[in-house]
Amino acid sequence: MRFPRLVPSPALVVACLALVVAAAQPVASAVGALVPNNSVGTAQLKDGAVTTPKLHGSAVTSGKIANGTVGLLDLASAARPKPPKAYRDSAEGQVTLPADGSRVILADLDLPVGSWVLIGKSMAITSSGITPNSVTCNLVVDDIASIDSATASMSVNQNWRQTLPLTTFVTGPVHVDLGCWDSDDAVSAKVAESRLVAIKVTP
Amino acid sequence: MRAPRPSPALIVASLALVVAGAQPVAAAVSALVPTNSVGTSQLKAGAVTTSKLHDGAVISRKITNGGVGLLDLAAGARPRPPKVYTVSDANSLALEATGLIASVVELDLPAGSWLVTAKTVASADATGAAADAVTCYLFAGETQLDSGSALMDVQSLIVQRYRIGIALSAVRTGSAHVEVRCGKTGNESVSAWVTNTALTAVRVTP
Repeated sequence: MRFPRLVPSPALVVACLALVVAAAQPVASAVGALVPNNSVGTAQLKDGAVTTPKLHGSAVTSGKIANGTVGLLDLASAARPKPPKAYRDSAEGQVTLPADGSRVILADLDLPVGSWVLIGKSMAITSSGITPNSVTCNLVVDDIASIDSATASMSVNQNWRQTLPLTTFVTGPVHVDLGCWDSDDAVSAKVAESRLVAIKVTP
Repeated sequence: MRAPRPSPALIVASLALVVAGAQPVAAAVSALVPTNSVGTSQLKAGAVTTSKLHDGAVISRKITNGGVGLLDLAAGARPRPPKVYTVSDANSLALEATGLIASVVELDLPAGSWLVTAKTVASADATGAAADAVTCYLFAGETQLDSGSALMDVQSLIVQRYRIGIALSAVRTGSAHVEVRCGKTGNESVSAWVTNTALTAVRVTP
């Protein structure tokens, strides 16, 4: 039996070519051509596929962060809540105040930009005398302005120790000092345990 | 009339047509992007925008340690020094009548816990026959939080001068009107006063 001789027509050649082209396209190319916008969902994503470079800049907004999940270790050092900044200075031992009434600086601080609560104190000490004796301490900013003061005046013919409390609020940058002087020149006085503390606050 | 037999070309062309064109797009995507098939390498850099992230998807483990800086935090979430309220009065307030308690300085504090400190200097200049005392109180509303007294003995015939510091402090939780009040007791004929009074409240965590 003779089979008829098959002579491919031009149409057959083209059709075969179309079939090969249609079926032999690489998968990746097919994906690129066939994956339409917004068609890749959670199910198609591998776990961990979205790495940092794949995230658009600023893509992570508050709503994308699970409430209460950002811990201290996630925060940069500067972003972690810390106790307030504090500065302190003090004068050790007893300091005799000049009889001429000149002011003696016992503690001072250079405070940077910010708002500061200042807490200072000193203990006035006088011995017996024939007239009342007074010690005044104050807080001075930038060597000019007195911003708080306290005076200890003590009865005569007795030994006295009195604490002078000082507290106020300043805005930096500012230099602040704690100084005391003998308000009465009759009897020499001393001060001791002088302390100055500044704590950063939000006004 | 007999229909012509389909040529081989027609058969192959028809098959090609079916293979290439008959698959629905959705079915093609499903076949070509199966579950868990899109990895990091398939994603373009920056492809995942805000709207593509599921709400609440970012948890601590997904954040690089130390990766959240100050500028990433909303203004209200940035750590700040504690809130403070202060008031002071350098003037002298005479304490006129025995037993009358005068308000010296006051603050209104919002809700929260507060370390409240106050100071004043009690003063008297006199010769007299009896002791005189200045007592100052720290009040929140009508609740007394702290008190301090300065006792000035004016029995001597010599002029006595007293300046005595009084320090007060307390921790108060809740909104409150806090106040330093002072009064004197003892010798009605001796005048006393307070000066350089300050009241400070610093917010704290109890």
